[in-house]
Amino acid sequence: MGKRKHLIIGCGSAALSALKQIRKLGSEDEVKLVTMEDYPPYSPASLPYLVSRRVKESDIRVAGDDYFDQMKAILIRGRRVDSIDTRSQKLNYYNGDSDTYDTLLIASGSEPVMPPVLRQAGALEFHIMDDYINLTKQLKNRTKVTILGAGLVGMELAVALSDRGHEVSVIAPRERILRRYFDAKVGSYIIDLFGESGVPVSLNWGEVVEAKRYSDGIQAKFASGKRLDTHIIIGCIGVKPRVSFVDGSGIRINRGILVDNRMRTNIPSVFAAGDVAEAPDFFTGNNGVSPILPTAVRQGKIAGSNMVGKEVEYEGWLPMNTFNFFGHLATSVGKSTPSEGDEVLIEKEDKKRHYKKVICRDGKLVGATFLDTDVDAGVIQYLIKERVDIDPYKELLIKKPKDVSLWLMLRAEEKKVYPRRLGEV
Amino acid sequence: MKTFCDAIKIEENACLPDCSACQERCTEVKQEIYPGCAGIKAIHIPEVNSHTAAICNQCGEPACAEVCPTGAITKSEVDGIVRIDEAKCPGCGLCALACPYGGIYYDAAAKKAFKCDLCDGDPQCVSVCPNDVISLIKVRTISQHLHEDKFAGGVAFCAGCPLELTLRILSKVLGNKTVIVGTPSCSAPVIHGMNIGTWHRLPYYGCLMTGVASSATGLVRYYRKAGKDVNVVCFTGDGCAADVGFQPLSGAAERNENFIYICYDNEGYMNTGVQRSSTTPFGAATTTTPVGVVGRGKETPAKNLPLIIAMHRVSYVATATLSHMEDFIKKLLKAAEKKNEGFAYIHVFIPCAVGWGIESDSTIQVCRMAVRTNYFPLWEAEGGRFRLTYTVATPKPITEYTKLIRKFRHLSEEELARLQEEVNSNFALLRHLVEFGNPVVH
Repeated sequence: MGKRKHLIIGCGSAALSALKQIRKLGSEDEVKLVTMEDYPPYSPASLPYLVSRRVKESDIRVAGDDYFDQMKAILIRGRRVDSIDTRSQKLNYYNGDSDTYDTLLIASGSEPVMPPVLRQAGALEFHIMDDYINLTKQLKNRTKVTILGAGLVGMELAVALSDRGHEVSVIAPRERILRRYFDAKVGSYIIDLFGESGVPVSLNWGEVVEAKRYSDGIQAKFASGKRLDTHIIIGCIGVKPRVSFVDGSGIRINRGILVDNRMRTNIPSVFAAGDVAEAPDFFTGNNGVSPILPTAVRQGKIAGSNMVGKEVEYEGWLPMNTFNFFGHLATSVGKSTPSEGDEVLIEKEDKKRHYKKVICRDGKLVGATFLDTDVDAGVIQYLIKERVDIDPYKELLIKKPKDVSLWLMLRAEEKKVYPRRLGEV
Repeated sequence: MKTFCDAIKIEENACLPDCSACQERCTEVKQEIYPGCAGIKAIHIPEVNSHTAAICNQCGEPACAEVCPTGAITKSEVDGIVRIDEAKCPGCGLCALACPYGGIYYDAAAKKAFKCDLCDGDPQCVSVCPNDVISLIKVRTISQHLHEDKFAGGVAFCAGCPLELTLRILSKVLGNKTVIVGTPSCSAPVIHGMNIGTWHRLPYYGCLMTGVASSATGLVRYYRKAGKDVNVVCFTGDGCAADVGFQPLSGAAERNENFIYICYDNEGYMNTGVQRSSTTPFGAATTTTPVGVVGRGKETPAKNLPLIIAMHRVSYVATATLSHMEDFIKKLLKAAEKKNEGFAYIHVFIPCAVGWGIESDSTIQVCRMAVRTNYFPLWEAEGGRFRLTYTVATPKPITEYTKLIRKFRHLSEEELARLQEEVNSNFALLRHLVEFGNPVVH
């Protein structure tokens, strides 16, 4: 087989991880990355830290200038994909150009969801570098910022803006915050802690029904009847896979691009990974979107392997996140709310707002949530992914999560090396 | 990238209860980076009697570096150390979420991530560990000492026999200038050669059991006269060392001859059909100490050969086993050095899968458990000064060892208690020698 040509749409975590894996496996195939943005590669996850001025713009480059030369890959910046012709294996760009491929990886990420009324009234988004630049321009003389939406992006941005010295408030359309990763109790603690740090979080605003821009700000009216008058609104309601260019290509889409456990779409030679993909999850194998960085890295790696013919299967994504705000830390790995038949152990301190929750099923850990608890989230992830039997130790685990999880991990690792070892460690 | 790098090794579950010296030292050394951080974590869970520590593995494919959104974490291609560039680190904590081994110290309040950087090659936790649980494995140093493997593939040992690895390591550590002196034994099919010739490319001198140590004496003197620096290594089983060839061995030791004697102790005459030797332990079933209506295995305890040799006040005596490979390599290197001063003796514990009744994939595990139960403590004596090279914080009961081996399966509780007592008294004697026989306390 001669050299093949791999095209990658996107230059985020999944795309770069795929490129790295292709080279790591020793493939000398041609690799070309095409990204719609015209910046050196960066991770959107670092944008809030630019807002808070914790890192400088020059610090967030994930790859140096000569990185793509070293990787013998071509990066095309500022080029949007218009459509994919899967029959003749061709990508068509907005500017009229086109490109052929032997394999294609779609790693175009996600895009924010924004109600049209708000967009028309000049509300901002916060998703990519352009949004960051736009935001900092507008922030100059305006201090009052309202964030609409209480997902992780919104909440992190609120913290960053507050750290930057702005007056920030968060309004949530519904009755819960961070619902994808945290249960209602942790949510309420987080709201309290936000309040104490001077960032009010207010719930149940409903949908935006009306919004208009005036000289120095925006006024909006919500379904709940509440009204808002602020300098800047940033819409952080949610994200959806960036798939508009996939329409008509024959590639199957549900919410995201449907892929199997090798990151293959229904069309041979087309792969997808990262925020754009709808891949099997860890517990059920059902397809779903998991728009987080660790998932993107992992899926990119799996896709990269399979693109060059090394068959590697994906174990499935696990929801997880870590949220650092005003010196507090909320972490969630695996399930955040139990299903029927799961066993739940909770230890909390209302006054200190400490919270520990462990969810088990058949003696195995399936989820854990911690607020201001000293624990290594990665080790918890290990225990879930390796399906370590924690049944005899679950009470101990919730009592001393850090030490016990580390111990269980070390023990499981030892068992891997000595599978026949009898008796206790 | 496949660079070998130094790594910190922590003996599993061997820490002193409530000792956090490593962690405290790390915090002290690294406080300039930011106060309170620690790259190593002491883990104490009295409820399950577990006392250990966890540290970054300096992974080949670090999960922390893969997820870092700013590329602040990198693995050095020079020394293999995974480092965090504090200036680029936004403090997001994704690395701590990704690392499965607890290698990242994440301080949410300070918004900083920190990890072990091996103190750039001189890890301070190692030097403060009171129990020698933590050690720095210098890959380069060890691999520098490793020479070409002189043994052929597919050698004729029984499946699972640790002899193969013992010999390969021996040849790799001692190198080309090595002459092996051997005798009919388990190792003979390979080092002497059976039917098709030897399975290695080292000079070999085959003797009767009674002639090993005396022949080596002659060889050494010849090489000395010829002005050649050669490692003459006797490699015999316990049957030769402790029984049949004991007199010449004792004589060579007493004369402090300049060679290395390695006794691989499989506790009996395994090659000739599992007969008992004088190092067969109490209670062990062999074909000459059978278990039946009358017999209950061997009635007397094992001869403590390494101690007996140490009592000759020779240049160097050590015990070793393959579960503790670095320890073995260090002792081989030391023996090669010490043999210039006089007699060097290493007693290597080699469980016999066939003769003892062990699963062939579990022999190393048996080695480890022999150390963990103090059944086979690891020590060395230089010129009569004793030192434990590995300390077991909480020794396992002997039953953890005996249950892995079928030659002990008939033992009653009383008999097991007696075996335990023998282990205890042997170890107490050793301790005594370490504490009082050694004027220099480390």
